[in-house]
Amino acid sequence: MGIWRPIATRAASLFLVLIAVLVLLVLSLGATGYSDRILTAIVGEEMRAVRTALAAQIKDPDELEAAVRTQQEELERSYGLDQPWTLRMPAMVARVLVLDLGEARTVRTTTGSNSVAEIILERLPPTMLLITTSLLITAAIGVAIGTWLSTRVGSRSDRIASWIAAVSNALPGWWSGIVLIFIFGFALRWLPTGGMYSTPPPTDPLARALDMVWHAILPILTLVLVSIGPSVYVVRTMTMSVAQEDHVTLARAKGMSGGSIARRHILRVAAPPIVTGLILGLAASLGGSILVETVFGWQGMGRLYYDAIAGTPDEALIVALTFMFTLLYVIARLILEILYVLLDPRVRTGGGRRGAA
Amino acid sequence: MSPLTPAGETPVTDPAAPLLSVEGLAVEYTTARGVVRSVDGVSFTLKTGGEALGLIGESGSGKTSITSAVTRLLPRNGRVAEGRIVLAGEEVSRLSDEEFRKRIRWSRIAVVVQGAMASLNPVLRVGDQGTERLRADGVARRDAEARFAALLDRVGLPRGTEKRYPHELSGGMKQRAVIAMALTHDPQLLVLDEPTSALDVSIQAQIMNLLKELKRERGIGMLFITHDLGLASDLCDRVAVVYGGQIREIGGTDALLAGPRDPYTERLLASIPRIRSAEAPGFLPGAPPDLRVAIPGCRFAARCPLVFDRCRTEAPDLVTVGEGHDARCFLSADGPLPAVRG
Repeated sequence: MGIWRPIATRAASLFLVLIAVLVLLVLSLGATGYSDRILTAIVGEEMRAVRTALAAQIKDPDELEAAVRTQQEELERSYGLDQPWTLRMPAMVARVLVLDLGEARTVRTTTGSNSVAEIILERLPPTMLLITTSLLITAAIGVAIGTWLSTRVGSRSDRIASWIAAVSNALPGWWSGIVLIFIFGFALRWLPTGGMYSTPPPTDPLARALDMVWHAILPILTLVLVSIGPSVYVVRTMTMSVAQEDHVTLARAKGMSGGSIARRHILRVAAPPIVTGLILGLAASLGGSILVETVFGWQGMGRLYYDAIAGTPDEALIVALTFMFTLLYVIARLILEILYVLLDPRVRTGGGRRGAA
Repeated sequence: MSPLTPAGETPVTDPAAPLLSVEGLAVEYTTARGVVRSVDGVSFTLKTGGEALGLIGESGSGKTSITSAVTRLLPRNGRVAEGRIVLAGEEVSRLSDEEFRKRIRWSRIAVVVQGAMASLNPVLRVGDQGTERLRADGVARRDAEARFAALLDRVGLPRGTEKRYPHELSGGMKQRAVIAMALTHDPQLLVLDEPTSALDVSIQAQIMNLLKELKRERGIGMLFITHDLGLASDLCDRVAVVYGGQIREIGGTDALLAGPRDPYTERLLASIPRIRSAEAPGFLPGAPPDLRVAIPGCRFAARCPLVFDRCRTEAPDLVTVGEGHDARCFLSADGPLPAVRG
């Protein structure tokens, strides 16, 4: 009926984005030899243990070497190192696509499982808490201050806001995080400096939740700090340009009240680009969360991603997390596309047939 | 929200008074480079019973500022510096903004703004935009919709147009929809700011015919802004030629077009190209005056083909040259203007 076709087209193109990201991931891990190096290192480490164990049983050096070689070949086969990456990695990606995420080598859940899917399920909620809360705060402040500023373009407050917006946009999240930790954690001692819970964590569920919120304040503040400027500025600029359109003059000539003009004729019309800005901001904060979570020791997906790359490299985790981050981004984009179609009738193709006699 | 104009309340009207009387209007804009008085001492009246006055002039002549003062739609940096605006005997220029909004806007003065193509809200259905003021006034949804549907029908739009979005309509249909909207409260005065400037010629003719019919059948007074003398003569009973924030000449359309008594009007008429005529259209060199600078003499002197010494030092006043026909030139009182070469 006009609404579904544009959404389906966008969904298809977003699925292609997902595939493209995975292809690039395979290329960057495989073609650079990174994947081979990770696996060789793992095999090498396991072989040291195997060799010690074998050496205790087999005394003859030649026999020992032969046994070690068979063991090593077996291990290499089990990790797929006997095949080139071009054969090994596509199979891995295909498994990831159907959410068969494999097993992590070093990371475990709190209950001890090494299933990547379970690890991610455990790490996803803390990340979503940070990202959605900071997005909502950014959106609320952005719309409130942005619309207010749009009525006083060129004033002193507008100029100050533009300046702050530029600074906020330029601030790196990890740096702001460190500065905030320094101010509120060390200098003032108002807020915890990192982690998700106090040590020892409270046992009462409510107290535990409150403790987590208490620890979330600084990371959320950091994410808001780096996204609030662009958000205010986008809202201000969009509402300002819509406010100058002819239909707003006509609404004023009609004698509509100021509130009705602001809501129906300005904000409602400016909504699609504003929502776009916010959701693209969410995509940016997905990336930013990796560093912010690392700085704050926040046990979310971002921290996990950092550990999977910078700690003991874990290919299964890297692939699975890249997939999950892309999936989150693609889902956010799809929500955006749906909102856009709902908010802006001009995007609906062939929507005009409904009213026609 | 309470009804804004309770049913049965009769507007303050004086039957003897003209529909609209603008007296000594001056409009000033505060700009980065000082205050610009873009309308200076403009006075005119509009009779009751469906008189249409055309305001003609180049871009920047001040014609839109005049009507924006009447409709209180001046941009934020503009203000009425002097003068009175009297609507059917009531001095509306003294009303507070809120009172003006509730009692005058749309219910008594409706507007068809410039740039018809963009004058509808792109994300609301035509019907929602047409009925929103009625709804704000407390009219039941069904009644408001019925009323607007009848008006859409009157302006010649197909049934179901109210359910459409603006982007689904052609330019001509949009302008008809805007005109239908302007009629929801049966206004006494309709201000039309270049209502056909964005339309192609055949659609323009249709819209002009519609306006003429509405004027005749409803007796709506009209202020019609245009730079097109042909359109003005088609619709308007009287015409005011505006230049440099002043009225140069005002009079009955036929008399004024047949015998302009101001050189600016004369040049404006001469600049209309004529089909099947060997005569090249007259050319009016230069641009309208910069109103930030005080002009001691006649504001048209710099471009006037008939200019003489007195024009540069002394500002001419409007003089009556015929019945309801005034012109602003030292030569106006002497009868028809001398011929201009070129």
